[in-house]
Amino acid sequence: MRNTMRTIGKLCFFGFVMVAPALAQNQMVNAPSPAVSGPAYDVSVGYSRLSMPIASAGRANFNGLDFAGSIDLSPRWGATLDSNYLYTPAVLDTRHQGYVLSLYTGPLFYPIEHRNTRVFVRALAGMGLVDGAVPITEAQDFHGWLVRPSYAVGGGVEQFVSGQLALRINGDYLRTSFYDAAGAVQPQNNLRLTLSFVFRLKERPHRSSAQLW
Amino acid sequence: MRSFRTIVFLLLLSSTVGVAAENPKVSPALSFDQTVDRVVERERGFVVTMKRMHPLAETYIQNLREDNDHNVEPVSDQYFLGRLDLNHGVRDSMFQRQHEGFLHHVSNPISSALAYKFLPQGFAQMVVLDPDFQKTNYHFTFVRREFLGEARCIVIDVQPGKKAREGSFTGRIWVEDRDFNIVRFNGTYAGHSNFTHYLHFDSWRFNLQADLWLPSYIYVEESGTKRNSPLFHDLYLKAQTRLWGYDPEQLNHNEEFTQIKVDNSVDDRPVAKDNGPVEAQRMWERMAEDNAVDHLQKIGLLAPSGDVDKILQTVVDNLIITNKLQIEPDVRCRVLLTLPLESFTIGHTIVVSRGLLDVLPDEASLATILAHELGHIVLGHHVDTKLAFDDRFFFADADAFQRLHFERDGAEEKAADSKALELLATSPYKDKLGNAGLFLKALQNRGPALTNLISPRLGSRMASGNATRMAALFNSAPALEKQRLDQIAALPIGSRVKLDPWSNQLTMMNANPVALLSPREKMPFEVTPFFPSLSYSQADRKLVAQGSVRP
Repeated sequence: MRNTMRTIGKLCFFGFVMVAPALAQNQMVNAPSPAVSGPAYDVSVGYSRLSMPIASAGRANFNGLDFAGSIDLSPRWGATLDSNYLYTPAVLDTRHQGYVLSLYTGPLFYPIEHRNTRVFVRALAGMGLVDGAVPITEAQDFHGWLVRPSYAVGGGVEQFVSGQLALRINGDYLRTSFYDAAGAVQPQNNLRLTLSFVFRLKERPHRSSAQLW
Repeated sequence: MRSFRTIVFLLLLSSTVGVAAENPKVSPALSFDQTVDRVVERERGFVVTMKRMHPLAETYIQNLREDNDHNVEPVSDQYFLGRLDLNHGVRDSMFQRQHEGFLHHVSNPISSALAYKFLPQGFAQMVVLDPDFQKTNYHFTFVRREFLGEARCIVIDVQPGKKAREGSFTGRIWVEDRDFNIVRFNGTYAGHSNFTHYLHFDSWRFNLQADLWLPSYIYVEESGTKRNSPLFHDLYLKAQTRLWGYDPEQLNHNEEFTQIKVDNSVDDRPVAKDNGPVEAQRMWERMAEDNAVDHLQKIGLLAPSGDVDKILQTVVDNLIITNKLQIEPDVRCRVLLTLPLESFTIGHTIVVSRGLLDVLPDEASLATILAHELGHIVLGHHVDTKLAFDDRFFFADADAFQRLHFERDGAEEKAADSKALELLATSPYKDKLGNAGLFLKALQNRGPALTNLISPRLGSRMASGNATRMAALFNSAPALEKQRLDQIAALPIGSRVKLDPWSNQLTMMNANPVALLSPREKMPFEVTPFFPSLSYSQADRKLVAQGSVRP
């Protein structure tokens, strides 16, 4: 059942990637050709919350900061570098604190852009460090850390609030690894939600006063 | 407020009724709303007309930088030349390769990703206000009446409405009040994307034929706000787009089939004149030369023979006569219609680009350029006779720069330089060559920034690195002093010649001499705004005289 859901999720994602450019193209068909393209790059800082499954014990919530930078390489494509530090003072009922440190990079795709709003999807790969704990019995738990290659897929929405400032909300599925109660390395399916302030390093063209009509 | 403006507009219109009674072409007084209806109708008709037109569109962009002393100078440039096609959106068939190859992006990943890319079709787009101009999509506000040269215009502010699509025009339009054609529009396209930008532009149309106003000049300007910071860089540029080659007959050469000219029906040459080998060789070379010249004219790159050629011819004749040269066949002069600074010879035809003529400061500098080319002719640097075969010209217009080459090798260039100095030494220009040397110094000074301006498309390079043509003149010239108002080493682009976008004919500009107020106004090799004086075409004037009224 779980595998079926995952396959359906992947199919939906790829379907969206394939169809969205056509929809976006249709929206742009009557607009005049722009005279200049590129470059556009930004940095962002935000708050992240991550939900991590702990083997045979439930889900632990982490909170932390996200730092990212991205560059647009074409009207539809960009690349990003994303770093994330998430912390919890106690992993579930254990007395151990935990944290997740990740560094990812990968392509961004913008299927829809309308006035001051744009939607993006992304697929990232990199390394993930998980420091956590797994309860073994009621009195015992296993504590440790693990660095493994990791990846993330997700998407979000950006809303520009001024020439250089935007708000971004994005959700990602993160695949990391950690030990189970038997000490074996197991993959983890995490969900991460991030809210960021985006600061563009190049002023976005001013919104015309004419559009206030 | 708007109703007040409408009343003022109606009063102004009613005041012109007396004039309208005398002039049958002036439309009767219309309300502002009716006027806008006519404007929209004419503009929609214009878009249909433009789809039948395939002019050449040349865009030249200069990226600017302001230093700490607030001096603004070009730091790089970009050049596009293409044939416009509005049938399937805006398209340009470009005369030169546009995109850097994959290897360029791989070898320069950072500069490739961070650089602005200029899109030729975006500049060509500025000939059209809105391909689907609808009254309901915009708000129109009457501003005033104004003369743009001969054309009396109604000035109207145009702003997109709430439901207007992205990319709608926002700005000001000038409408001539005879037939309600838009003759100028100034503004930008509203809306934007994160990665692409619309620029501010001032687009002018000329009355090129009866009842036909067609795009001729576009000036583009963007002033960045944070120009000195590498992180917050912004667009800071000036650009010009010129359009020409509208006359479809000129393009197709159809008139040659229908017009048979017989100069002399009786052959009065002495009998039994055979052509010897030398004569045959000369005729063969002349044929190659004529083929090349004809082809360049046919595709709109060379101006038809005209007044400017005669001025060049006079200077060449001065050099020939004072040097007692005997040149067979005669030397001819023609003008290449493109901007990049270049001159070259095709056999005995000297070709100088419009851009080069524009920036030369005086006649002695022109004589220097022509003397160099005359040097090639005197030294017998011949034309490639493969051009005597017509099939060599069976290629797409846009391939002209790739298929035609008239550049000379270094040895020939050096020899022509020496010969030119000899020719100038015995010419009427021998005492006025200081400015020619200064021009070469200015060229070398701006060359590294304006690489596209000094890159020839067909001929040889005038300046490269530290070397320029005519090094002896360069070395003997006084030092370049940018702050001296009386030292004009080179003129701004567009200073000398005027181009008729319909017939491709060139004429000398009839501008008033202006005293410079500051060194900033010298603007050597720089792009400047257009401010043409609009006039009605001769055909339109005839219609007025005959009293015909168009529907």
